Amino acid sequence: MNRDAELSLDRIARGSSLGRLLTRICFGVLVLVLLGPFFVMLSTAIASNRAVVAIPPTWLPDQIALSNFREAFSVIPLARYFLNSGIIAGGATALNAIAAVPAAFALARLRFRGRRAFLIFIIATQMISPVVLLIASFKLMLVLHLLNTYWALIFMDGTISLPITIWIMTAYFSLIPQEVQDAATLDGVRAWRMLKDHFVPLGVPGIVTALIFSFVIAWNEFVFALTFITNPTIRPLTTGIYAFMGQSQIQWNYLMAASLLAIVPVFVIFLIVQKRLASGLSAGAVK
Amino acid sequence: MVALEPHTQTRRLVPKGPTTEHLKTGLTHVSLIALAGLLCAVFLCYPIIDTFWLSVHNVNEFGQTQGFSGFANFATIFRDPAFRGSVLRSGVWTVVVVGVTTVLGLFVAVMLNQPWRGRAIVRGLLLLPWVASLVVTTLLWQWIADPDFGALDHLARTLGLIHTNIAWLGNGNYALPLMMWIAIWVSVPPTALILLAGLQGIDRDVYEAASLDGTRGSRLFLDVTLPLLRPVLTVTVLLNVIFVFNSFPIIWILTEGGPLGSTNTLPTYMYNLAFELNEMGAAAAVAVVMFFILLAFSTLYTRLAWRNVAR
Repeated sequence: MNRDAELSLDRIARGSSLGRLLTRICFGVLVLVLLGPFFVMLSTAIASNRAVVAIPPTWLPDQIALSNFREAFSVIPLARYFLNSGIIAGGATALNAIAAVPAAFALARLRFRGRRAFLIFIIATQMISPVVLLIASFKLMLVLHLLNTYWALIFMDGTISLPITIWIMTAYFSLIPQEVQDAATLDGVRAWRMLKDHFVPLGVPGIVTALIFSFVIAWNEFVFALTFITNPTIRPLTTGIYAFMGQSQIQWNYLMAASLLAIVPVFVIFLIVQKRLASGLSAGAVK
Repeated sequence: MVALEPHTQTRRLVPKGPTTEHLKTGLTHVSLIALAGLLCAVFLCYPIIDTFWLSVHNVNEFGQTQGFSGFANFATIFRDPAFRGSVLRSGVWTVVVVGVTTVLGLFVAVMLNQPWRGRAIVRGLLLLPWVASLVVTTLLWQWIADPDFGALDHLARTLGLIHTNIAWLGNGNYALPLMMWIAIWVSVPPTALILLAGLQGIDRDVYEAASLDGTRGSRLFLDVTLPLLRPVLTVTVLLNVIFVFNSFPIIWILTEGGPLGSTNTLPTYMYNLAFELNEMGAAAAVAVVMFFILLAFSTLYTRLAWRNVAR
């Protein structure tokens, strides 16, 4: 549909001009409310030690200290936390990938006994939350001697996102034309090979979407990290920043600078794949 | 969604014809799903079963069971007024947060679905509350609500709404609404973006047909858009309920359920019981209760939602 038709349709959809004005004002206020806090984060992150405790507070700091971003690294062991979060989220995502891709392929394209049961099982586990699992999984990690190791979080984070990644990938794999499978089958290609040579290359958008979910869930995970990891040297960013806040008089400008840095990598990834991401979710939703 | 429409999903997934003959080597199929099945069994199913097991036993602080105790753990928590308060607060918390989130998210989605300048920028920036971890956003709000230097009191004073600063987190009457707002604030953007994807999936021809019939404005929204958006809306509500009901970091970071338990919901009540008071058995009982509340809700909700759609 061309742009003119789109605009005219839009006019039909919107109704009277007073109503339209009110709607726009409400929307404007809502956007300000949703984004305003990030403005506060930014203005605090660049405020000098004196400006951050100014009374009355100011919207923009009168003294700017970009050195906060460097200071944050020396006050909080940020580099260490970034590395830990990278290892944990990267490990969890890798584990998730090698488990979810073949499983989703099997669910989407193959007929086998117990397939339906497995599907229902995957759906049911989606309801299970980290909080409910916490006590028994703590005990499990204790028994496996995995407390205070990266592995505890890699296993839990990689598994907790399995239902959603399998679900998204299954939706994608089932969209790939049947001819691809038929042709490969006629050539006598077996399941694993078919997956590797045909379905993985064609399913890249879906696989990437799903794995980004896995990565972000692990990167932002808090409850397991809080419970499984007490050793400061392997803490991820989330509990690292939280612990920093608990132990001292909070220096909010450093904390906000650190928070800003923690958001950036994930924000950039999301921005790049934004379109794909939302459509991936709703593809799963409307299927 | 798979969860809501198992029958159609199954039918669509199964490849037609005899083409799968070659693939019917059971071992291959098992190997494909083996790792996923194993991980889920060890790290999801076993803990769930163990939680049920713990909930009916006496458990020491290391999680070792010391004899069957029947429903003693459940009796203990049901007698505890703090538990009853937490159940109530969890209910209010979930209903208010999901309700407001859905309305605001739908509003944002509809606005973002219309062409206007700067739309792409706003859509991009709305990712921020979503991608930032709850720890970061919660700390940000703690700073905003700071009674001495925070932006919230500053704003309220500038607008003339208050004359003396409010210590938002020192008082349960202010702390809980503030934390609900934070939960809404982080939930609106993802909800809006998923609903937006749903709106963009609606065929433009439907609108054209409706407008030829003379349907206009709000009627167009209520009679055409909303029914078509329903499947996506159903999914977002379900996912939000699960997510919001289990929400832990916001309350734990800001008040740890205090002051005096006045902001406890089930997750923080449970955490406190398990890891501060070392009452592992009773905490497992709380986890079991939470599990059943969600199970009951999901079952009922998917039944109702899909019956209405089918009608």
